[in-house]
Amino acid sequence: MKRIFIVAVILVIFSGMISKEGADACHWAPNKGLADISQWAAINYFLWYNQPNWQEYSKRPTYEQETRIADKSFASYSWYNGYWVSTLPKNYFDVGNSFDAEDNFTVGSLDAELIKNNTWYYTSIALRPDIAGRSSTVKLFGQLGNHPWWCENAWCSAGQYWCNLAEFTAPARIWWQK
Amino acid sequence: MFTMKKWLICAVIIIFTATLLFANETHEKSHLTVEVKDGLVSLDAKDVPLSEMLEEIGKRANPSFNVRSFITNRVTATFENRPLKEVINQLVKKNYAIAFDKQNNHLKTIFLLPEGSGTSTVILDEDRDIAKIFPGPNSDAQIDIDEYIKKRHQCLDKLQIQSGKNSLTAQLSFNEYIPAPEIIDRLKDKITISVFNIGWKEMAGGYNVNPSYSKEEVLQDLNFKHEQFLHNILQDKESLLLNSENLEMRRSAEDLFQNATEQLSMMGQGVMTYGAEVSGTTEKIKDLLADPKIRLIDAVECNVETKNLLAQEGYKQTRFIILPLKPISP
Repeated sequence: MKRIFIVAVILVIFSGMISKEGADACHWAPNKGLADISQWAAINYFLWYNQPNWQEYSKRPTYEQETRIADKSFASYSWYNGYWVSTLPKNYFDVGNSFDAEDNFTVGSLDAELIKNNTWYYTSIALRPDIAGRSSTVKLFGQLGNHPWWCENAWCSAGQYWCNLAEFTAPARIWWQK
Repeated sequence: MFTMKKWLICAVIIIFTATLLFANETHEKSHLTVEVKDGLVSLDAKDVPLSEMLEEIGKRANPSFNVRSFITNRVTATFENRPLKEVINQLVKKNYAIAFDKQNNHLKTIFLLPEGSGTSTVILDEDRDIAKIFPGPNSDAQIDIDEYIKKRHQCLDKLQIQSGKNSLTAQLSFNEYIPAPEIIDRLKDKITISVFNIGWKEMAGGYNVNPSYSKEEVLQDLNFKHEQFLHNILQDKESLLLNSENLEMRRSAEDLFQNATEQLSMMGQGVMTYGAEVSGTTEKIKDLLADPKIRLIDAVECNVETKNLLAQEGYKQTRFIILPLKPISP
């Protein structure tokens, strides 16, 4: 009985260490959100309870909300009648490169320090199905990056840390919590 | 009475002193000492070519950077343990392009450009041998924005004089939010629109115009998408409010719904825009400046110095990305 108790205590401490490590790795990421991903749109709402001290991570922090879609035949962004909007401060839109292994539809904020606590941020990107009726694994990632002092625009943002916020099969509409 | 010998001694002393003084003055006329330690620059320079000064800083910086100069300015400056950014900003001022390596974000080359060239950032993507060029105001300060606008409009004047029939791709920025149908009407028969910068207050985004669509089809597609996404926000209202645990969260959700509702109520006028990427002849684009709602026109052709310099550096492929200036929130 005593042995079982000791093993249980060790396991609890160990699992606590693991979850703490996981939490710390994502300390800067939004706390919860709603994702609605289909072949027609990638919509994300998300918020932070407590802002991290961004300066701990970067002098010029940027934040990106990434929707990564594993199946490249699931949906595309059309450069001929594409549409995106967001309420992230100083926002920008980006898509991954065609030679990347997965699609990555991203809206970012060039100045993460303008992000407020307890505020819902919204990003939406219109997509079009490549092959109708497909489903795909989707991973939502938060990305904390930085931009060099000599470049104040989105294209200079470079990712430093990534946090996997949620993983599911799309089309789906899910609430996620960190 | 001075004897001849005394006169001679005096003359020798005077000549010797003068020579020393002159030599010292020559030395004082131009000098440069530079030290870079832990990213802090100490510098004492008198009447030195700016390029030489920056080259010395670049050699000592970690990581080091190069300088390509197309000017012959000489400068006098003193810095004591100042951050590299501050020193470069103060020395280089406004006519430059900074190139950095996309892989590691390291500053690679500073191009010192002739007066009037303006500021650009250049990203060197060595994997694909492409240089992406981002012209823009030196800062968000009104004085820098005004100067940027002035230079670009002077450039358009020049281009028009050279050849008004040449075709340009230009980025327009508006003074205020303008409905998309109004912009199409104002610009139709003059130029072709490829991108609308759309948004209202804290919401901003973009719409790519299909070149094969008629005006009606463009507006129909843009309106449909915008309305659909705004309705989606309102449909998510209950779910968002249910998941808003405190007053602050509920207020921010309400702000989002308010913004969507305001935009939907304005849909009779059309989707609000604050800029557009367009193409047309220099003459036609220049004509747009008569429109008081158009605040800035910037064109790739007004940034060719940087392109030429990069071509000299071996970057044959260049891509310009010109971002619009957002108007003050209504």
